[in-house]
Amino acid sequence: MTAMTLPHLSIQVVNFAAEPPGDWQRLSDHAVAADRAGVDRLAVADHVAFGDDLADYGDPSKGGTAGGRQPTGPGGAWLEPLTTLTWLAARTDRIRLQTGILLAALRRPVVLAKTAATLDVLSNGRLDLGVGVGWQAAEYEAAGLDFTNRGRLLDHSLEVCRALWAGEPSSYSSDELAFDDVQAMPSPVHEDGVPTWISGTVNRRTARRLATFGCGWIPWGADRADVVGGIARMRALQKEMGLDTSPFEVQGSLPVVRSDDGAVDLDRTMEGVSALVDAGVTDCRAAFPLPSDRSAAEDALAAAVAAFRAVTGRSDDGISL
Amino acid sequence: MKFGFFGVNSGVLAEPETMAAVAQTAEAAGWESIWTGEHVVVADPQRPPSPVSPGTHFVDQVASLSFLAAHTSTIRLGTGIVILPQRNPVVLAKELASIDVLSGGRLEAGFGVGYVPAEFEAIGVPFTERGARTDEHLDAMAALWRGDPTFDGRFTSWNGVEASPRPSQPKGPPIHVGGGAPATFRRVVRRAHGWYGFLTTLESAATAVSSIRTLEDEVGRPEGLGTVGFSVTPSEIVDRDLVRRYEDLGVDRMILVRDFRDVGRGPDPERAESVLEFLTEAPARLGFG
Repeated sequence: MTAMTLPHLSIQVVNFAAEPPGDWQRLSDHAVAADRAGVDRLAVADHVAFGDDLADYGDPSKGGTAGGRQPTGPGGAWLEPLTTLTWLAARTDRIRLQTGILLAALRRPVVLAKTAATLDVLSNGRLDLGVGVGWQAAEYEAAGLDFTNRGRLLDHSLEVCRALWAGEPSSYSSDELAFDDVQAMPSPVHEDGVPTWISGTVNRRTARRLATFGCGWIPWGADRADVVGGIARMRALQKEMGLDTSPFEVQGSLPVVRSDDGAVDLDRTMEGVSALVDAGVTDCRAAFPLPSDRSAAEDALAAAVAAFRAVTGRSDDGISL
Repeated sequence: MKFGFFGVNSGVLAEPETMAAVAQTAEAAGWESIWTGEHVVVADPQRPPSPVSPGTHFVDQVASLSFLAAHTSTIRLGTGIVILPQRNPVVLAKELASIDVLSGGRLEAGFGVGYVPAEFEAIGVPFTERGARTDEHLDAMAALWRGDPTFDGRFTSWNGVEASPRPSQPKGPPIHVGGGAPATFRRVVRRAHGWYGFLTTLESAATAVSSIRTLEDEVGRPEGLGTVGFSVTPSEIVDRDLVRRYEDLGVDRMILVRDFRDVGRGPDPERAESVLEFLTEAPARLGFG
């Protein structure tokens, strides 16, 4: 696992586009800018395919989030996240690389274990595998999978990853799959596997998955909107269920505050940090508006990093790997 | 004749600094392409017919080529090969399209059917379905890359589904199919741009070329796939004379290794250094670059 004594600052970089962007230079430029500026972690999103109706994304009963709107229509271009992070790994040195989130169950579990371990090795141990079940039935159906069984499929994927990451030779048996005495090179950099972050609302399945497989929690829906309350609810549920209640990391949204002229007000933005950190948030995700130009983006992010470190009392030079 | 290098994700080379150095050295020395290989899992302890001993590194090809795309700018990036029935075609199509887009259209996509039952068992795909899955997965990926809104197959189907981005190369990445069986040759003629023979002899390559050309006449070549290309990784040491002999057969790409023993082990900086020397000296010796 990563050294996690300090709160971290993270951003999302945009690996999707409503219209084909020609090239993806801005994606690369923003990742490089964040790396140089000392941002601790970047994340990319996942959609393998889209059905023609995206309304379920706004419906919590279907796994969506209230008021949620996809940033593209069904024809939008979404680069595959593990592929994208490996491309970015080659261009960055320090920043942690997170899938936020990967629809892990869509991948064949053994192949996922290998791809993730390879990305971890190629990035010198910088991968954070964020996983969730998603909200879109059409995507599971296109991949030949049963959407109604998505929770179990994700658990199965994580079980296989754990078996193959543990070392060699590995054996595994479940209703879905059984194998004996195989190994899948490479092994992840960290002895206990690729750090895995579990996404979801506070519910029994997510709580169990987090306690079993997760080093961190990516709250979703109402529990993301109220992360302070969400953390308390998650801890209470884990306790009630008799689960392992050792501390876990939590990602929380840090709202970016703007002044009257529309410019980012870093001081007021950072005033939101302490309540998050006090409640247990370890990764503050902020959606800073970024100029296209790389050096301008780096300047903007460097100012944010300085303000974040000042308010959290961090005097380090970024994440230690 | 085009010259490629095989095994950039495997054996003594399989760690990040070396992989980047190999790709950049090959690009600078004038190699046309670099190729990955795969065994997703290997049996430990080794048992027939697996050719791979425990500890042998084949790191993931998709991640490797994406990583190397960022470290290079002109050299072509080939999978040599992906064992296609072991993959989910919808996910793989998205991954390969992403590599093609991020590399500026440099992907060469090689596929095979596989032959080690234990690997299929571990991945959870019936070994007996490998041929049928390979054919249908090739069709499914082509359909996604064309933007077909529906697909109705035995293993994959969708209706009203889109997956973007599509590959940057207008007709998709060139498809290469590996293997030496009659079913492989039919697959090449019906569904691929080229054939890839691994560990060939002049005799086995000659058989493949003549079988494929006969089948082209018999079963017909779909429009748009063009002339069949022939790529080989010979089993023998390659010199100018062997290059000329393969050229005479109709082979248009040779995908070389320095020493097959480089593939069957784990990262080894000393041997990797010898591979870098090979990449630098071979072009002058063989007459390219």
